[in-house]
Amino acid sequence: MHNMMIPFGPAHPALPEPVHLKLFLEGEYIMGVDFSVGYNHKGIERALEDMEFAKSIFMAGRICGICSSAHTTCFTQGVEKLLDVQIPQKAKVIRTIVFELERLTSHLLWLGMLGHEMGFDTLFMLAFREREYVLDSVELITGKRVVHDANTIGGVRRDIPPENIKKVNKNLGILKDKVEYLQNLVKKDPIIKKRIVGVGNIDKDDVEKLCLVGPVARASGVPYDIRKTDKYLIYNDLNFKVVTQKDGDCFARAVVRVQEMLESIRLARQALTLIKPGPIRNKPAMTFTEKESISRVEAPRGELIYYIRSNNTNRPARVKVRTPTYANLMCLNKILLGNSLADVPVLISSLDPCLCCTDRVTIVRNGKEEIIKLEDLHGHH
Amino acid sequence: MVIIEVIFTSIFLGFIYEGIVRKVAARMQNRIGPPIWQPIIDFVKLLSKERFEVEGSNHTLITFISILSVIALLSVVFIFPLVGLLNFKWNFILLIYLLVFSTASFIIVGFSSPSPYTIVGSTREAILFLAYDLPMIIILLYFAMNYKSLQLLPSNLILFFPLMFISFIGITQAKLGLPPFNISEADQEITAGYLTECSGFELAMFNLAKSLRIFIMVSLATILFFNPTSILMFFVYSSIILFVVISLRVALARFRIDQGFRFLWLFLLPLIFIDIIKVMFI
Repeated sequence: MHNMMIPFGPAHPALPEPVHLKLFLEGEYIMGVDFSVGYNHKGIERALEDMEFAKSIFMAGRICGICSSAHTTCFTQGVEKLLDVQIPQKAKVIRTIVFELERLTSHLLWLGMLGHEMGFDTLFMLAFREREYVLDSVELITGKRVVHDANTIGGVRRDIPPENIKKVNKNLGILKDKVEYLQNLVKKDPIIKKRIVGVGNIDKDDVEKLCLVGPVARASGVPYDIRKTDKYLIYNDLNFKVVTQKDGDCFARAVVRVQEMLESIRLARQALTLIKPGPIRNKPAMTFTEKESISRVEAPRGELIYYIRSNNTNRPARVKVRTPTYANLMCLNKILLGNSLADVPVLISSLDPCLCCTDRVTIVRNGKEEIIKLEDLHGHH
Repeated sequence: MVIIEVIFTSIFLGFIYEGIVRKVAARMQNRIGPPIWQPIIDFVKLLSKERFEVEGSNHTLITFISILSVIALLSVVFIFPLVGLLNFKWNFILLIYLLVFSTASFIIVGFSSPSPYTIVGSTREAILFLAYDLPMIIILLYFAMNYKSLQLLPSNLILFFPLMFISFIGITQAKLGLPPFNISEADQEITAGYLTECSGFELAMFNLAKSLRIFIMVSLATILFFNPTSILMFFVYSSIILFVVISLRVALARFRIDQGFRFLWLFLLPLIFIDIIKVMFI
């Protein structure tokens, strides 16, 4: 018998994302979790099918505000496979730089949120202050700070002005010191450690069983990184290591993300030296045949998969997105049970969920869930 | 008329102290922060706001307790030696009673609404109350024993009891509900804790009580440990203590309830006893 049910979300100060958790408590401890999403389904997959390929890149970039470049890179990569185009080297380098800078913005935002969830607002303020350096750098490269539509089919839309390369390099140099300071803070502060060490353990077997991806998998000792396995863009030429930790608790996840930030800075600086004069785009002829392609990238939160099917028109016949949070949410029940209510915000944020990208539709008719065909669903709207 | 002057001055100082806490904390966190008089603006605005009556909550009790909590805290000000209006022989007992009541009022408010957030908030506050009030009462009673009087007298015992002072600062932090002890108002877990269902007039009263609590706890630390001889010295010492309180608020993350309890009883309480035993043998 549970003592009390605490509703957590869909509008909650801790989690600015539309998710609803019912936490069944006994005293302070969680004995049961009921989880429901579906409050913010945007129908983007359908919207992508209604647009021409050239336009739908922008729609893909707006699936997520934080990993916008990951989505466009993955989408364009898929479309380029359909068209059999090779993109010029310079475009690959610019895509890599934006991609890594985006990982930095995402992880800094996450670190700030972690601080906020454990009641440490100073860490939140510090992380967001340092994040400005990255946003400024992204602005110098793409002209935008948040949703940067840098990619297009066959290359990138904007060249980096030569004088900006120096500025970005300088910004990253400053940022490196700041991130090292934050790393020290997370690793050494006694109260932070008290809150996150040994909380929410996921072991290696569970990671493989539940197919977890990204930093969550790497924190449990599974070196699964699409940048290493797929070697897309120019990751083959760059020197970097996949950060892993053994323990699989919240602390390990924090350390993995903070160290990944340092790796990202290194990667971006390496990539900046590889910029050579040349074209930035191979403009392909936009003629599609009946084909399908799968493309994956390592988004800041983990493996992002796009499945694209084309027919003879200039619109995609089907686009399917599998965001990393969708894979990672599987372990939510496992890490929450048995922990105290005070740990819930920290545990949820340690997965770095982005629930808007993850939302799925459930059809409910006469109070029962139903599985229907895609064509029927499209008939509904 | 002196009574009215004292009431208005302490309310004003309470708001200003809270404003200073917010402003200085903001500057430490690299933010601009609100103006120092922001709590006054908030208070006036809240008074004009609508009151929502939550179904199943005891509304009369909440209103009554909110007023009583402010009155209790204002009475504490009268006990202070610099004001000296309640300057009778056993006012130490009254002081302890009023300080306990100010916390108890928050616990009662949480339990008088059926919302799970307020109930969890009140439960946490009640548990934490056991943890910080016992050390505080031990400190106060030790002072009384030291002076062989149950009257609140200014004393500069920081020279003899430095560890007790450290302990008192920790207790102040817990009593004020500031990090690392803002467990019962952890907005990430239980929104506003025991005050979740309050609105309008009651919320204004409780905010006023919280502001007064800052002023009273800081003043009490000043009176007990620094022996301020003039009003000027009183504010100098108060601002030093306030600065320490703000620094702790900014520099620390929040404890979990078990960690907070353990810290108060296993770290701050022994500090008091070390000081007492040390003095006994010297």
